[in-house]
Amino acid sequence: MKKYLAYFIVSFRSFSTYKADFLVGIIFNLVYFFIYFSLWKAIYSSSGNALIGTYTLASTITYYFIITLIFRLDISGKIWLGSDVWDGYFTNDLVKPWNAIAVHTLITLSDLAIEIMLYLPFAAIIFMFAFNYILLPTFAMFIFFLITLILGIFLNFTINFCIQALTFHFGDQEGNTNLINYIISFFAGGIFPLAFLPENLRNIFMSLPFRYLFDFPANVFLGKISVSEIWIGWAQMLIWGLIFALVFKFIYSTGLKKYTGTGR
Amino acid sequence: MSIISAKNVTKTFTKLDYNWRNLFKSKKIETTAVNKLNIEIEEGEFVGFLGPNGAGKTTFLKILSSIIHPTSGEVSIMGYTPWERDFRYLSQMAIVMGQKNQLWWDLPAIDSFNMLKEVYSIPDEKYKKNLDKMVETLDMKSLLTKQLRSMSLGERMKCELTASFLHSPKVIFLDEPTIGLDVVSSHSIRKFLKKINAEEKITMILTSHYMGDIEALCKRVVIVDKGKKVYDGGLAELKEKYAPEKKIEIYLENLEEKEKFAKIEGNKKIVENKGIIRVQKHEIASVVNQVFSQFNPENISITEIETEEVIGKIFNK
Amino acid sequence: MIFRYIKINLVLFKNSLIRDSQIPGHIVSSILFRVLELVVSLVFFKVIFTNTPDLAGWNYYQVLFLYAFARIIMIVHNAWLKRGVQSMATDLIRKGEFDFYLAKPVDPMVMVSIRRPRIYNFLSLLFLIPLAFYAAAKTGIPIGFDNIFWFLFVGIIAFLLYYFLTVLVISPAFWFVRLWSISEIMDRMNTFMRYPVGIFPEAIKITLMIVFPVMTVSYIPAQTLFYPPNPVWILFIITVTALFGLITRLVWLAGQRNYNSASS
Repeated sequence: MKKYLAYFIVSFRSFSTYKADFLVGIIFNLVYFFIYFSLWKAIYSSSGNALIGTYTLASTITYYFIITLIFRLDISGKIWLGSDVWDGYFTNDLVKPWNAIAVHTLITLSDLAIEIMLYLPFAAIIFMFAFNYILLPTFAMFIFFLITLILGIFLNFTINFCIQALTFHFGDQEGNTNLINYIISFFAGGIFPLAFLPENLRNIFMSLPFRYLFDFPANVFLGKISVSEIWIGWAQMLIWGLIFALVFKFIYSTGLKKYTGTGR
Repeated sequence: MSIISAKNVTKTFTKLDYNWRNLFKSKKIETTAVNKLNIEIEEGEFVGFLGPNGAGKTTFLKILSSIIHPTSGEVSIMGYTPWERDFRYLSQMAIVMGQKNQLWWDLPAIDSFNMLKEVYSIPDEKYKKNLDKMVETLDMKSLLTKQLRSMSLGERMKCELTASFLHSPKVIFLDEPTIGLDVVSSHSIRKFLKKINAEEKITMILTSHYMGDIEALCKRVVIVDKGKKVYDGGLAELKEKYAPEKKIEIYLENLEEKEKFAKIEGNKKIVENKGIIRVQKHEIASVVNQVFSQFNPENISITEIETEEVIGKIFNK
Repeated sequence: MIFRYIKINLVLFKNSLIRDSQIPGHIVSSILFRVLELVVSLVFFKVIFTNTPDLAGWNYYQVLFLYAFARIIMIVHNAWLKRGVQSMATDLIRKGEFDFYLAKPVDPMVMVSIRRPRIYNFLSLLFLIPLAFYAAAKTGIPIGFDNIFWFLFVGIIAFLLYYFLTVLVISPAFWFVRLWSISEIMDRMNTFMRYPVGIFPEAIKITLMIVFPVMTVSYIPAQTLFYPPNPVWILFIITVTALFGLITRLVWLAGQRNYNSASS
């Protein structure tokens, strides 16, 4: 256990040396949030309606505020398994007396820890300038939201590990990783709340597990989901996570047999 | 007139050191990599640059090859100041770095060569002539259509060298070209460099940690330590100046011989079953007489002090 | 001199074709990604325009054209120049491989920019250009030959401006070697290019039209197509492009002088 903790600390320190990247990361958040803030403000203003779907302007802005956090916690750009396998660096993990996947999980978690730290100054800036548009949840809902977020990260991990493990079998998956994660973020409500979709499309999107990554946590924060629905959502997230974890286990164990360590 | 002339060349790297706790109290850290280096090199010379890691050899080479600007000093190569990056200078110069590739990783070597042909505007006939010559000299016909990523280190270096000679440069900088190569590959590259230096009269500067490279290729050696020039002259004179000694090695067959060896006067030691005596050259005659009279001549060898040891002596002074 | 760079570029295009055709999966997933991106954007615009008749006075088809034109600029840049420019921040300076570009008789800024084209990215133009034509035709706004002429003229200048901005944004890599994320700044900032400037507050308009004129890249050419060509706007984009060309060049040269290579 100590070696994993040591690895986590080293990874965290390693990421934290990229100091100027922090500032740039905050700017990214602000750009994303600000574009959608301006866009939806213009839409609500010119539509003359107070509600779109069941969302007020404040709900929509708060939705994007939460989505900004979830995007920062997006795993897809923070897992190195695929690139390490492709470049042969995975050899370093295999020859050491530790679980290679655990180590890859830890490095991603240390990156996420940095992201959470980064989010706080951004959140502070947003509160200063868009305070009127951010709806705060009750304490209980906030706890539910945090748990949902953690389960969402677990689900995201399992999905992305599956994609990355395909590198063992089919080579470099960088292109597919970007594609699949883009698809997922669309189906997950990363572009706009799923409630804005026409009913037939919305029903399709809601039946897929991806909504638990963005739309579901954001709506928990907004208090739009009842407690019983939250429990059901969590159960589904766990089941989907376990399914993807089993798929990953299969792809990984068969892939290890093919691994040659070339590229270096 | 020298083809390469460097006067008082200095390069100091400055780094700002700051951390979260002292965000507004950053510290300037200065490292002088090259310190008032002076050198004159004639056309066709093959000069070896030696020094420990961090001595400033590669930094100096990068200044000469237009990659970095010096902090102060003057350099003139073929009448050009390197860091002004006059294309006429760059078209006559090449640099090979043992630890970096300039060729495309995912492509066959010939595709990278074809691109360089356009970069250097090499006429078709000259390109074909030079390429054929390199292929023949380095025996790399089969490598032309092979991807760089699937080549061995030795094969990659052959391709890098070929790439550097395609445009018939007048000056070439070689930064550790044989690093990591096996004996056979190193030998073939040395052979190639020696040949091309002799035939084409290309001026070459070589940095290497392998004394084999320097001894095989360079008559003149420049030793650099902490950015300063410590020695500049012939390799033979280097040994004469810093280690005017020879080494007599005697294989000691038994205890009796070891006792006899212990009685010999002089700077000596026993390593396993080998007795080693270091003798000043002007005293060697008497010591040799003594040794040959007491031991079996078949077990005796007289050699020069290894150059590595000589260099080590210089840095430990 | 220009002819020489064209020849070098053609060789690089050929090399790119050879290299990229070795992994056809990349090409397929990249095209799928672009198609999906387009579909998602179309769905998103539909969601927007279900709730509003216009965005800052621009109707659905005008906004669609603006999006398509912005994407065309980005795709041409991505296919030809983006990877080369980005590699300054991710590889060349950090690993010292920029050395080789300084040691050759070519302009390093040009050579670095053109070094890693991705030819297959141009394939996205096959559906973006027809989309742009379709949107322009459906706006219901009469478009004359003078509109088309000035649009093309201004469009080329806009592309140059976009290139200068991407190089300018990456140039801090000369001084801040570990600043990975600057390679992604333009990817975020170019989101502004997709929307009419009128939806943003005045301060943002001024900043992103003049100080960092990313919105100028798409908005002014589109404006020139739909409305009587305005000499003030045309002169404005020429001046801004020339100014940013000069600034970019000076910053790059300063960076080059400051470059210290990397230890081997």
